[in-house]
Amino acid sequence: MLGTLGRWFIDYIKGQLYALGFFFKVFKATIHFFKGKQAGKKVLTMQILFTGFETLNIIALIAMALGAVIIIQGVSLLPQFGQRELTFPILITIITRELGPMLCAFIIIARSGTAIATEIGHNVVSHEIEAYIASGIDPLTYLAVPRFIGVTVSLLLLNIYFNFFGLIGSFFITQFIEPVQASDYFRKLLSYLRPEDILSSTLKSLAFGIIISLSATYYGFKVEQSSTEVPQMVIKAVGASFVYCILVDAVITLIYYTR
Amino acid sequence: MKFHIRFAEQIVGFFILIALLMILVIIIFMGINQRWFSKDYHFTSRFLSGTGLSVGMPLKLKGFKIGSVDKIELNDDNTVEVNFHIFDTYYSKVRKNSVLELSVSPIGIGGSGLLFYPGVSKELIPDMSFIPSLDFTRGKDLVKRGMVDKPPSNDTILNIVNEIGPLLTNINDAVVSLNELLVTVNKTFNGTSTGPVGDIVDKINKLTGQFNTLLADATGKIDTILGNTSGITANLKTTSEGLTDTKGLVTKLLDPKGSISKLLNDNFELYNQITGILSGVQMTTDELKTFTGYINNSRPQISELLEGSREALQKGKDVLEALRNNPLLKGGVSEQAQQPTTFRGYREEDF
Amino acid sequence: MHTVQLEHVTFIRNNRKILNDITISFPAGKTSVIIGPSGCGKSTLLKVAAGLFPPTSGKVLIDGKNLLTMSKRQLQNFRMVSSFVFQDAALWANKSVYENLSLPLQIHNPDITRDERDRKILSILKEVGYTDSIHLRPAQLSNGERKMVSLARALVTTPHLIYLDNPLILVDPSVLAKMQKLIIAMYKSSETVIANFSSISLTKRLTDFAAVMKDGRVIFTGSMSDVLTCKEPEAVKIIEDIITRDYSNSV
Repeated sequence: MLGTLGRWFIDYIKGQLYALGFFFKVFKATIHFFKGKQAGKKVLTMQILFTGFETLNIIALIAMALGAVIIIQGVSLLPQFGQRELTFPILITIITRELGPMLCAFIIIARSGTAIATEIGHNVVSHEIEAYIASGIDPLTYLAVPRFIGVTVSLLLLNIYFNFFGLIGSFFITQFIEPVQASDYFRKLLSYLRPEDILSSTLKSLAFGIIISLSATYYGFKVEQSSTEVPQMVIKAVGASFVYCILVDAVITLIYYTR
Repeated sequence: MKFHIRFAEQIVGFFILIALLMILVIIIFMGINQRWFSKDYHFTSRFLSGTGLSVGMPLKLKGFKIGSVDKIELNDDNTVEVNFHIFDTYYSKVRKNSVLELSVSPIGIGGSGLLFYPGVSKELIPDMSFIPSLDFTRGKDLVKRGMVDKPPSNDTILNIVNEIGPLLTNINDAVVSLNELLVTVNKTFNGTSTGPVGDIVDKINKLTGQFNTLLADATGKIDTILGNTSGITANLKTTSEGLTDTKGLVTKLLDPKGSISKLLNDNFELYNQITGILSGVQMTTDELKTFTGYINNSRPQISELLEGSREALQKGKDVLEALRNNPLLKGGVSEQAQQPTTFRGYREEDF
Repeated sequence: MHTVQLEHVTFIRNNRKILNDITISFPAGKTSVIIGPSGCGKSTLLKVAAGLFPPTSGKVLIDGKNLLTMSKRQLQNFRMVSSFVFQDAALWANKSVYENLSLPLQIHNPDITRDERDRKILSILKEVGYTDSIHLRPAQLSNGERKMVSLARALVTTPHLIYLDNPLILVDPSVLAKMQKLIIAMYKSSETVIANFSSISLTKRLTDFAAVMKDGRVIFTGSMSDVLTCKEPEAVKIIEDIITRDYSNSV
């Protein structure tokens, strides 16, 4: 019993150290990524295309729907309490600071996190990783780093688009249901939007991008031989991404409110 | 090959460029809206209390926001140091002898404001200078000496209170005279006074004059008060806008030391006082009515008396003079009872 | 010419000892063939010797230099001169045939022009007998075609140290001849080839140096004639089994 516990603990520590080593190597390789000619640059472009550009329609739809709901509720419900002005702080809190980065992260976890973990896992099973090594291509530099940069950059960009569609696009949707004066809306919106809101949002999407890409690539590479390991590792990657994203979100939010 | 795969680089480039442009445009507009790129002039001032002051609070000149409070600190001598900035567009107003005033709403709720009064000088105050507040003698002296462009207070409620003061004094004077007259008349008709009826008439004339003046005065002031109604309405609008700040309103309502709480927790003292005042006014009105009726009925007799009692008038004058000098009939205003302070919250009140 | 040496190499995976204290030296400029029954660790030995799997203990020396302690540049130089043909082709599934061949070229010869690169790719594909579109993905190819492309990918960088892990297994007879021709060309050249062939006839024809393996151990080394005439009972049994299997397969 005691021996089992001890073995489990040692294995756990080894696993954590391995993960840390992996993250460190990815960060190190990222620094050198843009130096010279890199075959991985094409992979990076494709990653941004798949993770960023191809997710734009879902992000735009969700952001506009969410923003429109907040505005409609704000202009119809809040004046009953004499709190019409609160529409803007609520809109900024939900779209920019809290739900925007988190929803983008969840969509990316579901779309790209799973795809990356599956693809790398499959690469391992079909000996493609060995083929990369044999061809003198570092799998970490060629597979992990472009995905790490691609997902992080995509999440940052998608967060900007989410804010744009949520704050501005939703205004136009609202015009069909409950017209709001444009000048008044944008003036108030811009007066309530603070640089720290943008900073908090950017930090969150940056952190979420790092978490999602590292989890997906790490668990992808953890597949050893069998294809049955692939879905198991995908589930682990998704679980880890959700947990760490929520934890980091809580920490950044805490820092924002206690600063 | 699919279109978006073939032109992946161009699409990604466009995707990144548009996002960067969006964030750039938002930041630029945000900066313009929040005056990031404008030069602000920084000044300091000092107040006796920090109550009503807050960081970010607007500094206003004639209703225009000309700057805002950056920092509030309690000094070693328990005065409050305020650092604030004024927008470059209003820097020309920051002239020598300018003063600040912290205006707090007299009814305790709604917004209070930090008001700026420019000096009459043409010389501008340099950046980072000290601007005195009206909390201290220096600021008050500047106003007293007419060196500050300070218009009369536009606080409507304060104006009404100021207008009502002299009106009440006049009413009081009238009531005192009425009392004197009633005593004299009573004595005269009871036969206890040898009082000169001419003096009574004289008194009536005086009283009528007083009433006329009073009515004219009151009418004028009521007109002024009515004229202020629009101001009151505007103020009420401002107050109601102030009420939208739930935090402020709720805090004030729940504050155990607050005005509303005090009103609710004074064991009906204020209510009793108001009821007493109203009863007194009612009684006086009744007496006046009776007296007017009586005067109307007695007019022929008064004429007869006037004709027949010249001697009595002389004596009556002496008597009335004596009566006037009697301190009991002076009719001084009774001292108002002090409102006892209550420290209890309204939640402790039995309903 | 490159030499490959293994010193007391042990490789353990999932608590199973796959290679057990192997010490062997593959001669430079010769074709070395590993012979042994299925599951004895031939492929693993090749991959450890190629530096694809780091050994659990022991050393892998390439031209006398330890593969595990090589600098990045030395390792890159080793990769530039070596190539590996996988048993299951191991083509990159998300890349076309052209991209599978152009990527190693881009890595090792970044300065060659696109035309030169295209010419090289088309030339090697023709040599291996691939005639289909170069824009097809591996999933769209037959098993034999995949093997061709895999061999072409290994040869496109003109390597001097070639590892062949059963390159002709499950290959269509129509393309087998062309691929065999290429392997024979390698044998005749002065390149160092370390191979694992499933066919004993090919092994007999192309082997300069042979190593007989059993249960993760090398039990006999020598020339092919030494192997065929050896008196070591374990080695004799293994050779007999392989010859019998090869004969029945051909029938």
